[in-house]
Order: sequence, then structure tokens, then C-alpha cells
Amino acid sequence: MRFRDFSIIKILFSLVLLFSVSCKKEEKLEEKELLVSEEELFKKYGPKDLTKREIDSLINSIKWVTNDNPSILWDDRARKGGYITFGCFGYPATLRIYGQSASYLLNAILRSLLYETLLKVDLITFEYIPSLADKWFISEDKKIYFYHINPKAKWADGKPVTAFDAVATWDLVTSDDLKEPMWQEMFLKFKRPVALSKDVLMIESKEPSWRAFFNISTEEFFILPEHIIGRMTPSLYMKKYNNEMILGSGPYLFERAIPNECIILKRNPSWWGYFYKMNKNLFNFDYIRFIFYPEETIIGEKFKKGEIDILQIERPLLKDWAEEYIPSKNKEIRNNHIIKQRFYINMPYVNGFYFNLREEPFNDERVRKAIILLINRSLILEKFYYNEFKIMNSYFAGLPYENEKNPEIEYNKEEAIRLLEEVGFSQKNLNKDGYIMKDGKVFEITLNVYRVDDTRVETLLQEELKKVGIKLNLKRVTWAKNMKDLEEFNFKMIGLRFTIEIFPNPELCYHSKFADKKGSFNIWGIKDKNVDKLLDLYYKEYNLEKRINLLKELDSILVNKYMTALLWYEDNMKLLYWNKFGMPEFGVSQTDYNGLINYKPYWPIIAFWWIDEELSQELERAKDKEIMLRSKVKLKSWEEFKEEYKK
Amino acid sequence: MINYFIRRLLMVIPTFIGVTFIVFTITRFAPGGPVEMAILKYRQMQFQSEGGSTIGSGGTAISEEMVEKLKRIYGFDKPFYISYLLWLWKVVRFDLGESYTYSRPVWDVIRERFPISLRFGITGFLLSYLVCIPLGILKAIKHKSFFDFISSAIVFIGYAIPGWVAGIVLLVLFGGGSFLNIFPLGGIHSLDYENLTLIGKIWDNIHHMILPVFCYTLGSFATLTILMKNSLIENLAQDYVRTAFAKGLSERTVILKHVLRNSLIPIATGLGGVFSIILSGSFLIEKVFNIHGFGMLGYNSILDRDYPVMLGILVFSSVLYMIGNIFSDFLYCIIDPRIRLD
Repeated sequence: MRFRDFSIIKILFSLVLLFSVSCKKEEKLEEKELLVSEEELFKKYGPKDLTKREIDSLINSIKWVTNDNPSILWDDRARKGGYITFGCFGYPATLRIYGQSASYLLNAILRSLLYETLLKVDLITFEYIPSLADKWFISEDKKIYFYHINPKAKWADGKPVTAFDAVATWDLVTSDDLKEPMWQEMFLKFKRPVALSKDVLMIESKEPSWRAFFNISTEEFFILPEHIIGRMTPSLYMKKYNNEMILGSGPYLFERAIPNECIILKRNPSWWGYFYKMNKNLFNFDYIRFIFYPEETIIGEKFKKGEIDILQIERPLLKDWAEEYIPSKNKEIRNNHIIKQRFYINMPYVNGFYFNLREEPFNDERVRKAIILLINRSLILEKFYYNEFKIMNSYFAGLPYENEKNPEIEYNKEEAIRLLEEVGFSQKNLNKDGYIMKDGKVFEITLNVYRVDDTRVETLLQEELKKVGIKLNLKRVTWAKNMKDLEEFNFKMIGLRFTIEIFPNPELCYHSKFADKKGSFNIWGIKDKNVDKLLDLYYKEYNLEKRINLLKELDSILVNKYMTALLWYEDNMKLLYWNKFGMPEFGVSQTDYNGLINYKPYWPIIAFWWIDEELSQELERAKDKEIMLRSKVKLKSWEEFKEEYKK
Repeated sequence: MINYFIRRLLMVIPTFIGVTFIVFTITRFAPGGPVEMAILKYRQMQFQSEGGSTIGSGGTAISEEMVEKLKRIYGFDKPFYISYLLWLWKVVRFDLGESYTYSRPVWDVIRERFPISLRFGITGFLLSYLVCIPLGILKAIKHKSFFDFISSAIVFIGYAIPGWVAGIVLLVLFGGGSFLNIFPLGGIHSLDYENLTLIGKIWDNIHHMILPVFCYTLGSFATLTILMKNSLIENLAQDYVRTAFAKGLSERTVILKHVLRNSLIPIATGLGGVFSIILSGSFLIEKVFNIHGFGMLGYNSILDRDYPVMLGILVFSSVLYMIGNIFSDFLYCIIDPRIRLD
């Protein structure tokens, strides 16, 4: 062997040696030592600066309130048993309910089935009702909240739920190791909760708003068991619970999950929540299966094959709903094996073209109104969307906050031309391409288009504007670029659609303090003293009826500012389902118990539906045969049901 | 010759550093990185919290502090060259970092895809070679016959149809939703797979593999078959073949003993790809069949700006491709004694 060869072998050998020496030793995750005694827990999660006497005196001074009359929405006919299978697109990046990558819809669905919040929101009255806490109290300065944990509340393993669990959960969620600063910041709006005793929890908010109470009581704060999370570091929680779920106190238990394929939940037959009468015939399915498939066409095929029980029809599938899923083309629908049904619940959006009020030409109300007058919403709905959507004339369409007196702005080309003339855009002053001009400048707008699957509305608008001499450029951009332009207010008019909460949070959008703040949600740049005043009152008002009136007033102001060309929203959920289910007379509810609107059918179906054994057997016998099954009785709309229930 | 291959192996190191440095630098300066994506996600989430469709955020404004935290989380708080060196040092210690999306070690995320990609990769690889080589030989022997014409038409139609389109069509036709119920509707095994017997499990796997493997190999049939055929025809025109026939050898002996080995040289170039089988996978086909192999992982990691996963895949693919190339050269030398690399 020559010397050169020897050197090369030596170099190779050195490299191997370097690799082996520098190989990382696997870190051992350090688990915290077990804390078992109540005394220890109290030391860890209890108040640091109060004596026992002060604590007792504080607890004794609490004037507990509760709600003994929650709405009973279950059906007498409901029976427990069987399973239901949903088809979903994307398997969640993690099954954790807190931390990085845990903020997706399915995480929200799972958390509402496995875990519970301190309180719930009544689906009919929107009042607070008991959940883990059976009583609560808000201090006079509206900053300190007290909760009494129901002594009957149990984790799935039989251990009692305590105030310590809530503090441990807060500690976990606010940890840097969870790599989710948004959540962290949300929870840091509160001081660290304090367990005054095993049963009494005290949370102090840094801001005295009803929304803070709502957030921490019902919307965001799902409690996890201290006897699990309190025994591990947040980083271990992040690693360990990526594809499994910690046991909870909710109606369902985590059974198993196969990444990218399925998640299976099992009903907890000894769920402590059945103690509350309102839960008696809720959550009836023994098993819930979420099956995942990334291709929409195949999800449809899986439904037709019977591997999936429910298929929700959303905007991209409207054509199929109207033209394919019809009795003449589909024997399963013809024979009532598959039921095609609209469930009338309002699914509101703030959906439309938003104007930038900060600069020309839309700093002039007349120009904004002219554009709105040129959008023929009725025609669009008829031609493009089979009249399946409802025209919206409110920023809170389909919610109690909608101001019924808002005018409906109909298509009116002549009035639009008149308004433009008034501003100085004369139809006589056209350039060679036929566009109107003012001060030597063409009236030109650029509109971002990021949804490439359907640009019919934008194209129609382009044509309508051309008729009155306005040049609309449609610019194809990515979603990220669109959001970037939004953040920098780099637009004149932008198309957006946002969902609304049952307890809206309008300050970020409409308060003048955010109008010039880049990246804020006051997209329009609206500055209005009356709006600010209404908003300030709104956040201080704990009475729901009064809040509704305040928002109605706000709605009227916003609509009459013509700052958005409002389009349409959905007033019904379109579902196809195999004919084997029983359901209450309203079918699905508008919201869940955490105050989130059901834009997807998972929660209300899991909560209220059941397997109708007789129907199920009939369907099994009739499958693949031309045998007609019984069809459903007519359901009531959610609003109709609500009104009747209130009576 | 040994020297040559050792030198080639050593060249892997600077090439690897070059490739990874370029890609790493791009990830640092390309717009829409993980920090921006996270902010955009928050903005959307929050605006919906005016709304709050999925999970509300309690109406929290995005603060400077939050942005700084995000930069720290995603490692964008250091100069890119420092970040690169830190990343490289970790890679040297077989630590590929942690996925932004899955909050798990990249190695774990990648490792889960190995069995899936290997299963489809090896099956597809073997199937294409086992079908295309005999088919190419047959086509060469029956050149310009009816069989040659028909088989060419079939393989070119297969070549012209994108695999994922064929996938959707086949699933709709044979998946049992609309027409015939012959094959399962995607996935790699049934939901009740755990409860099946060993025979049942084997059949279940095969049953789920037939359509995707067909779609995977659809495009490669044409290339390999025609390459084999043309190579054989070219060699059949050589002087030594005429000599062999003149000596009275049968056609079978001439082709299989003398011509085939020489004709396999261009085919052998592809054999180096056996190393990168582990990373094979077409995103579109995987999406259609719900197979979560490397195609889907790579594509999603780019979409989600999950740079650690993206770079992790790059580490594997670059090393495997380089070793694959060296292996191809090695095969050349074995098949063709005239080739001597030095």
C-alpha cells in the first residue's frame, strides 16, 4: 500500500472517531419528584402571603352565585351506544391541547370532549352555567373571580378534580417550554391563580372586563389533571403527549390514534357530568372515530361507501349538493338511505370587501357607497351559489346583536353613477380606454385575489365597475402576501371573511386607538368617537341584554359608514348522513358549551345525536337494494326552537 | 481504483457542506419563514377571534415581545452563519433538531416514514425492473411487430397519464364508493388491521398496495422499457453479434449470453438509485392514496416552513444520492470490464 492510500485511510478513520466521540448522549428527561400530600400541594398552589385565618375569612366572605336552571336540550328517545365516524382532511400536528401547533379546529373539538372548563355557557340563554365549578363569584371591582369546584367532579381515573388542577394547568400553559407565546400572553392577562383550598380557586384578572371572565371561565381554560401534569416538566409534556391525550374529566376518553389515519374516542360511562340533569341524554355514542384523508374527492367516495357517516357540504361542493346529490342521480338519496338535510343555524361571518378609509378614494363615504351599490348580491347568489347563502346587512348577521333596522343596499347602477359624479368622477370625463378620471388620474383599484379555486365574484365585480368607468385590477397573490398587505394597510380594498364569536370582541377591530397601528385588526382605519364610547361601555357591561343593545347601536353606526361591501353568510348547515341516527327536534345547535359557534357539525352531532337502533337495522337490510326507508320528520330551525323553549 | 472510490467518498463531505449551506442560507433569507408564518397564523386566529373560529386568543394584540419570543423559538435570533454552524455541529452528532410542526425530534418524524417509503419504493423499484427488462428484450426481438406497436402504445399512454390522476380515477372506479368495490379507498391498511390474522395482515397490506404501486410505476415503465429495447437493438447491430450468429449460436444464446450484459449498462445507471428508494415518493400520489411517506413529509415541511424537517430530509437525500452515484460508478466497473476509473 502506498503512503497516499494510508493517509486517506487515516483521514477516514479520524472522521469515524470524531463522529463517535461527538455523538450526542440521549438526554434523560428529568421528571419532577412526586407530590402527593394535600399539604404539599397547598404549599405549591396555595396563596403565598395569607395566613390560614385570612384565607378562611376570605372564603367565608364570598357570596357564591350559581345557575340552577340550565336549559335541558336532550331528547327522551336518545339511547347510548354505537359509534359514529367523521371524515376529516388534516390529521392534527399534535393531539396536545396546549402548546406549539395545538391551535387547530380539531384540537378544539377534542379538548371540548375530553376536558372541561370551570363554567359553561347555556346554549339558549347564553348565561353561565356550572361545569367543573358549581358556584362562582366576581368581586366588586370585577377583577377577582372565585370558583367553587364541584366536589363530585372526577377525573376519568376516579381522582377528584381540585383547585390545584387549575393552578397546575395555568403553570403549564404559561411556560416558555410550550413555545406558544400567543397562548402564554393570553393567560398572562391574569395573575397566577391561587388555590385557597382544595375546592376554592381564586383568579385575578389584570383588566376588569366581562370578557376576561368569559375567557378564563368558559372559552380558553380547559383544566388538566395536576396528578399528571404536575409530575412532569412542560418539555416532557410537549414530547409525551404529541400523539396521545392525557385523561380528562369530560364525557369522552382517548382510546387510540394512528397518525394520519384515525383518532378514536371512547365514551366514559362513569362521567361525573351525568350528575347534572342537563347532561343526562347527551354524548350518546360509545365510540367516536375521526378518519383522516387529505383528498376531498376520496372523502366523498368514503362517505358513499359508508366508511364515513356524515358529509358536510361547504362552498366548494355546492354544485354537487345541487346537481349530484339529488334523488334522480343518487339511489341512496332516492331511497332515503342517505338523508340530505339543511339544518337551520346561523353561521355568521364578517364577509365582504373591506375599504381602506385612510386614503383616497375610499376616505370619501360616497365612493364607498357607490362601489357597494354596484355589487349585485342577489344575482351572484342566484347565478353562482344556488341561492344557498343569505345576504348580510350587518356586522353581526345571524346573531342577537344584529340591528334589524339596518337597510338592505340593493344593486343600483344609476345611484352609484350619481354619487361618483358628486365626488367629481364624471361619466363625461373618460380616457381613451373608457375609464373615468379626476384631476388627470384614472379611478383605478387593485384587488388581491388569493383564492384561486373561485374568482367569479371578483371577475363579475370587475365587469360591473368597468360599466361605470372604474378600472379594477385583479392581482393574484398568495394567502401570506394578502395577509402581509393587510398588516401594512397596503390596499385600497381587500376581500376577507372572518367568523364571529357568540360573545364578540369588537374593540380590536373598531376602536380608534388601533386605527393607525400597523398589524392591528382595525383594517378600515375607522376612527369614530361614538364607536369608541360604545365599545368602552360594552366591555364594562356584565349584563348580556344591555350588551346586545350596545352592539346593535354599534352595528347601525358601522353599517351606515359603508366601510365594507358586505356580502353573505350561511343560515344553514348542509349535511348528508346515513339514515341511522336519531336527533332532537332542532338537529344541531348554533354554539357549543364553550361559546364557540359550530361552523362544523362535529360537536353538536356528538353531543345531541344517537344511533336509532331500528333505523340502523332497516338501513343494514336495505343497503344496495331499491328499498325505500322512512324519511325524517321536519326539523325546527335553531332560532325557532329557541323561541319555543323560552316560552 | 480503490483510491478513486475513497477519494469519491471523501468528496461527499465538502459537497454535503456546500449543499446544506446553500439551502440553509436560503431558508434564512426567504420571505414567509416560520416566524412570519406564526404571526400570520395568530393574526388569522385572532381576527377570527373578533371571530375566533378555531381557538380564540382572547383578543391579544401581537406585541414586539411576542415576536422576539418567536424568533428565539425558531432560532432566528442569531446570525445565519452562526445558526448554520450550530446546526452542522448538531448534525455531526446525529441530532437533526426538533420539528416546528410536530414539536418532536426530526429524526423521529423522519424515521416513521422509512417503512412506508421503503415498502412502496422497493416494490415499485423491483416491479419496474422485473417487468421492463424482459419487456424491453421482447420488444427488441419483436421489433416493428404488432406486439411491439401495442406494448409501446400502452407504455406511452401510461407515461402520459400523471400518476395521481390515474390514482383518483382508479379509486373512484374500484374503491366501492361509486362503482366497483374491488380495492380499499386508500390508506396503507384497514382500520381493524390489529385484529387480523397474520395471513389477513399480509393480504390487507397487498390489497392496499396494488393501486398506489401501479400509479408509482406507471411513468417509469415507458422510460425503462424503451431504454432497454433501444440498448439491445443497438447492441444487436454490433459486429460481435454477427460473428456470434456466424458461429452458429442460437438467437437465445446470443441475446442472453452476449448481448444482454452489454445492453444492461445504461440500465445499471439507475441502480444507484436503490439507495434513494428510502426517500422515494410522489407528494401527489401520496395525497391521493393517503400514504404518508417522504413525498408528503417533504412537501408539507416546505409549505409549513418546517425548516428542521426540510433540512433533515436534505441531509438524508444528499448523502444517499451521493453514495448512490458512487455505487452506480462501481456497478459500471463490474458490468463493463473496459471501464476502469482512476
